[in-house]
Amino acid sequence: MKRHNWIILLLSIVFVGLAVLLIAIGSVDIPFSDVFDILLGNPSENKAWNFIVFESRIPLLATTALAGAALAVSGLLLQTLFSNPLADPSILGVSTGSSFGVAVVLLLSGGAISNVFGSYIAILGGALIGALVVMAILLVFSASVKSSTMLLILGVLLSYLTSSGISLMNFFATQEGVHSFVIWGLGNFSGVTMKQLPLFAILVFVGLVASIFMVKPLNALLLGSRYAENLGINLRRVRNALLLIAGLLTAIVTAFCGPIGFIGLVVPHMARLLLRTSDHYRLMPVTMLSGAVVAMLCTLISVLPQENGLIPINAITPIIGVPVIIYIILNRRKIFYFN
Amino acid sequence: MSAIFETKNLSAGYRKGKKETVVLKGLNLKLECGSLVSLLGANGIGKSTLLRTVSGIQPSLAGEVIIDGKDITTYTPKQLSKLISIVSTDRTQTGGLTVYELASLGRQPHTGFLGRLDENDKKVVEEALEAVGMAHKRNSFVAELSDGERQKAMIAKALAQEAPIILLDEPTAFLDVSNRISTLQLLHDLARKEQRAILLSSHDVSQSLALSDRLWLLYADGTMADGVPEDLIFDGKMDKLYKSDAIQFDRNAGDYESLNIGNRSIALHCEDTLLKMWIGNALRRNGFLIDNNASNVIDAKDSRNFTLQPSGKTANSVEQLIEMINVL
Repeated sequence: MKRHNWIILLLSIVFVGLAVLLIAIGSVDIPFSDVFDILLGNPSENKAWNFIVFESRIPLLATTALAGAALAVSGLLLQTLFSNPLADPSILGVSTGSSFGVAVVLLLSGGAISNVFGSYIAILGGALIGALVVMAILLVFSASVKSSTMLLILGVLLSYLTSSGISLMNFFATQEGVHSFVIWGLGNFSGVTMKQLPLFAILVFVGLVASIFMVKPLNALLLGSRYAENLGINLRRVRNALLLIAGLLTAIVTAFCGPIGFIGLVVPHMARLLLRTSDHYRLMPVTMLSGAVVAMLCTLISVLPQENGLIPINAITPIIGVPVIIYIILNRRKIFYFN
Repeated sequence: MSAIFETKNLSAGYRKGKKETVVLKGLNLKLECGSLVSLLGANGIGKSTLLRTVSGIQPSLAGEVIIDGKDITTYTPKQLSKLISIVSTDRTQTGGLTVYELASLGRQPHTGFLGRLDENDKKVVEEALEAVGMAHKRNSFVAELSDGERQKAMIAKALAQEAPIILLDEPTAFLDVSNRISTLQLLHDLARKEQRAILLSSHDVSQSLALSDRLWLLYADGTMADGVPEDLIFDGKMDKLYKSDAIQFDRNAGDYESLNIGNRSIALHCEDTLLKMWIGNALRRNGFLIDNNASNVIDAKDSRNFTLQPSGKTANSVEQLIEMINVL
């Protein structure tokens, strides 16, 4: 069997294992046997348990897997597009752009909006517009700033500027507004209810399918823009499509789960190292699967304190992400795809 | 032979707003299948501008670029990618691809939306790797290749694209002399065997003279000379290629040399032309001007036997000879 197939098999096994654990473990202690009975369609006598499994654990599992895949793919698209191994939605300021959009909705509405279903559309719209505005600004810069490192720094600066805008809004906002914004900002895969899940899933699914269609131009972009154009790629259209897809994926996740760092940065590298290739045809599915697995691992850690509540996801992603990045930086010369 | 590629009164340069910067003007060029053409000229003279313009990446300022009988602007990018393939010096991120995967990127104009290769595509890639002598490295990562091998892999990509025209921007720039010669020889052979029209820019004058079917010489005033290398040499077209008083084209060596005017004169008596050329080289380097009326005369019989007249001192190596004449 080829390496590629082994990796997918292995990741699938880990995926299933983590899925089982995430269904079985949570803040309320439900015996394993009861959980599986409930899943198999034999409701427990404890009504609360039924509710927890269907209304809390399944949406949490699905949200985590989809969000992880979405962020990882977004990172992969941006890394290839910007020819920069450190590009990712949070570093380039796209997540912050989304946060800004959400802040406008949450803070300027005074916090009143957060309880209505329609508010999620408003939050989603805010996040999407915020992400796309940042993307558009980066795109304008990228026409004149040729160095991708400089572009990355511009992204970081943009991110600071946006953060300062958020701080200013926080300063003038009502207490309820600030509270709901702070909670949202901690990052949380458990915010998507069963009712919102279909919308979330469809949007992420659209983004993921669209990115599969970009596999060929992404491979051409490995050669740089001049070669890519010579291979018949419409550079402007491909760039815009990639930014739109990456922005969409980031914005959806950010709107529903808050700004989640590191997954977009780290997972594409993990996929490249696992597969030993930069070929996007093989990289894309493994990036999606690894993104889901990494996010599920983070969620599992976050629910471990059980009755003491959830640890914010953004407290966990750096613990997994930073060591991987340090490993990559230290082994830059030895890692095949850098040379 | 028919010209696959032609320019008619082409002007190339940059357009910023309404301001045009003309780099090259009035170019009437022809490129034929089965021939290798080298583009020579000083840095910043417009070699890259010309390559970009004829590959359709940069619009021309005036005139036409005609590919296979039709104006370049009438082709879609996809159609053009089947007519012209390029090899540039741009940095790539292909370290994590194998040589085979890199070469198969050249099939992109021919493959479907996921870029999967069918049997014919695989055959073409395999033949391209075979043609550049990289088939044995097909499973190596590009990161593991030497500069010369990397260049050959990029040429395989260009071949796999199956375009009749291949444009290369300084393909030998980062290579050592053995890789420079083997790369150029490879391109020369490919032009003949695969009937491609190959145009490359280069700074490597002596190798270009040896292996190009034609030279395009770009001069500082924006004009151009086009011809077979030997005709250009005999017509003195090589002499003014570089606008510098410090160098001159040496027709014997087939390359440029420093025009080091000596202030001391010495006569050289020598039958052997090779010996004469290299002793001359040593003399010029040490500030001597060869003048057969000079009072000091070097009598060179062979490379181990020199006599200096009128003193009658002898030397048995060029090193000793230099020591001797330096104290004159």
